[in-house]
Amino acid sequence: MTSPRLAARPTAAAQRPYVFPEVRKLELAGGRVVAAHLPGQPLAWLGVMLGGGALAEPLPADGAVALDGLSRATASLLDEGTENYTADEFGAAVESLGGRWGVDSGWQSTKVTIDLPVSRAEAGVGLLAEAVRRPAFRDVDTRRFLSDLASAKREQFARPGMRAQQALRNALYGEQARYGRLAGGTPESTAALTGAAVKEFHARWLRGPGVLLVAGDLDLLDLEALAAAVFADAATGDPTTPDGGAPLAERQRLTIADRPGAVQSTLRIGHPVPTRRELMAAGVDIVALRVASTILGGSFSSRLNQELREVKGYTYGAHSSFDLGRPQGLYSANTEVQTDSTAPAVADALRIIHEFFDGGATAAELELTRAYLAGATPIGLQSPGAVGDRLIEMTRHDLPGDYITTEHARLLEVTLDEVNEAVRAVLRPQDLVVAVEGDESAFGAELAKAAREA
Amino acid sequence: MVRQPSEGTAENPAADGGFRWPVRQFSLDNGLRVVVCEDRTSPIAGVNLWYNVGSRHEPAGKHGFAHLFEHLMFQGSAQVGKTEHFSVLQEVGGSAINATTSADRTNYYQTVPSAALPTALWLEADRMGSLALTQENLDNQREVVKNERRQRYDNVPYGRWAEILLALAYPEGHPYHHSTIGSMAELDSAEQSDFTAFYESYYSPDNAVLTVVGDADEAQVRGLAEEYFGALPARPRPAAPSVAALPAGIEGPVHEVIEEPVPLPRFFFGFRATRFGRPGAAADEVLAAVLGRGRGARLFSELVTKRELAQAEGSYLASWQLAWHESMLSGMVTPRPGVDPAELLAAYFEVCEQAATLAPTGAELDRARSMLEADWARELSSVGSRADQLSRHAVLFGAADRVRDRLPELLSVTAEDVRAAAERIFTPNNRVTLEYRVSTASEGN
Repeated sequence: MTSPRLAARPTAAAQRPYVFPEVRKLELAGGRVVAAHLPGQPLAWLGVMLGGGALAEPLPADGAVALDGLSRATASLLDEGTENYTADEFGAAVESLGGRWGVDSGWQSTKVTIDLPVSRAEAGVGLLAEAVRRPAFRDVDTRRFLSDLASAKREQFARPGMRAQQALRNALYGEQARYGRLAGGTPESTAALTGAAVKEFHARWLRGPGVLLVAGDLDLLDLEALAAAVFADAATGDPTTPDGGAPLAERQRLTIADRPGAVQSTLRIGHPVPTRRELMAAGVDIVALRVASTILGGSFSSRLNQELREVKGYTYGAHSSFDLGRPQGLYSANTEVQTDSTAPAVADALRIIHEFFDGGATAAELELTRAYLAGATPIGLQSPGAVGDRLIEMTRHDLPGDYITTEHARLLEVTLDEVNEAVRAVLRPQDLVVAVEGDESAFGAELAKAAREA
Repeated sequence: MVRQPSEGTAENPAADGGFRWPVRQFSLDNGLRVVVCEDRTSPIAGVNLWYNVGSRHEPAGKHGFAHLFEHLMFQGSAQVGKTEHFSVLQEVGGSAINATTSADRTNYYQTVPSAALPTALWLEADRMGSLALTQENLDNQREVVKNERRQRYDNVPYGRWAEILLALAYPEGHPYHHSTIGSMAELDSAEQSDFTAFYESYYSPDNAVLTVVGDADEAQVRGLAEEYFGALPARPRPAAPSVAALPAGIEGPVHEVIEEPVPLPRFFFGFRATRFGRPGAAADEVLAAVLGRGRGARLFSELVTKRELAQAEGSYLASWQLAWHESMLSGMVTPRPGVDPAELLAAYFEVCEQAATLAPTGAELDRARSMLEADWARELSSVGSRADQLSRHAVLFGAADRVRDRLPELLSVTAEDVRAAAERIFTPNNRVTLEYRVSTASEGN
């Protein structure tokens, strides 16, 4: 093949400034509303954020199985039959609006969302209100749903990932603590859930008004009417979910979930970190930490992915991130590596994290990442659902409506010293716990050595 | 505000077919087709390149090479170092950077701040014109692909279902008989020369469509395309081997049983269906939605709610939309604990076959149309996926503007069309059944 004539590399012009959509925080119809204005957007995203969450689940009676996963199951049952609809009718009604129903239940809150054409928003919020305020929890639906959930959990645990995550949480917080287990529960705990427990959990935790979140064209949406629909029939006040316990003082360095015959090992390497609010109160620059996190494990060009995938070929991908959520944050590095590379991959991952802590980011990495994150903000916020996720974050952490815009501006000026200061304030390589789900017989002693020596 | 929704009807699509942006298309002298869709909503641009090559082009013994080649495209070119591809884009603010390979095609995409559009086009042109095909890159990416295979196919329960189903549904030697990921053994035998030949055959400007969607207009994109791609020469391609049309039905029924240490027994199905874009294909898609998609689907209400035979799933039927040869509808269903799998199997086929006499009601059709219409709005809402749809229509129909026909075609499918599609597709001799049974052995793979 003859060499074609290739054009020289262009220089890119500066990116245009970014401004997050206008956010309105209102009190309407007796409840809180947080709405982002997306003019011309044909789709709308509506959500109700309620209390509850895994940390609100009841403590088991002596000798009984803990009801881990009750919060998530209850949230998922809200649309499985209501006062005015059977379970099938409700599902068909959502779909007949072109709607996509979403349920997310974390440690301390519950989110129910619908995403649909803006012209159908009023009917959509009617369904949201119907599910949140008037769920029926009929025995026939609850029994069927919980049986399916238990089977789905068995399948989920047969796939790589859940048991590694479980092992990590056990090692960090102890399996006696609710926070030391999985928010969604296990096959055993899910099998123990009952309709009575669901009803009780709903009555105790999910009847408060919550917060209505809206992302869409506010020139077409009547927020007053949406709020009136959602907040009618709400109980007064939202109960406060307790925080999780403190991490264990003495932690094992390595924990293994054996999976005989696995051709890959799933690695979860992490340590607890403070929440976003705690870090801000302590003077840690959240934007600088986000830059650092991206350099270490947050993009294809990150140190972890470059070394483990592009240089060593151990994996299809490796990444790490700082989750600064409540009640406690978590730094974790995640990857799936071929079984015979388990020990060297753990050693490399630990080495990369240590080196990053000791030596910090480089000026070139900072500039690359600054430009990448600045571009990624508008690219990542094209859909109403993506804007909705930011509204959830805003509400959970009590952030101002323009925080994305402010952080975007801050990103453009953050310095290398600030980035490295944030790394040293938050990353604690000596505290990392290595959780591995894989074929223990294939790596046993070699892995223990790799984890110990790093 | 209660109980009004199910009476709603899918709104008539506007004259623009639910695609409200202008579409411009032109070709460079070297045959590169360029599509531009201006949208000034946000200062960003989606850049998409479809190469008209997929695993359907792979000869015997070289399965998985199209996909492995896709990985090599990120390993550098004349002016781009080995690990630089992503960083060149990231340092101008690009993200959503990736590529995928299917049986039909290979697509490369990124979204960038519009100020960086020249950089994205330059980068795509550099690798189209001067890819760095080195032994080191091949060796490293072969290991990455083998790990991709382990992660997606070999290390997960039922991970190989689609691969096995394709092999049963398409005859040996057919371009769709093999999975795109390919086999470990054949990947091991890959040599550098295989990829040089592949590159020269298929990665030529006259075998590609470049689409730009977003904050740019035709004149600007035309200038940039000329500047960066204009000097790349068109290259000859081997003639595609002729493939005989398959009979309308799989010569079945085929029923294959696999025993593996899976958590639950499960059935997967394959039914031969209409090629994407051919008459009848839209009806197949609506049929899959009416019967098999979502909480209001017939298979859900019959098998899960009424008879309590099956586990709840989001989808029991899906349309593959394969475009170059006969396509496939695939299905899946899992018995609930204590249910005889044979009873569930019979009930699943019963619901499917009943659709040949029981056309969808108005409400059923409205539900399917509303879902498909909202899906389409979501698909078009980001510049990246909108660019992908434009490239797809340009490659398959010669005109990107055909994207405007997509939604009207789906919405014009009638109840009788759906019934006729069911009659055509759901016959016992047009189905492949793959049955997973639970073994307790630990070595299943």
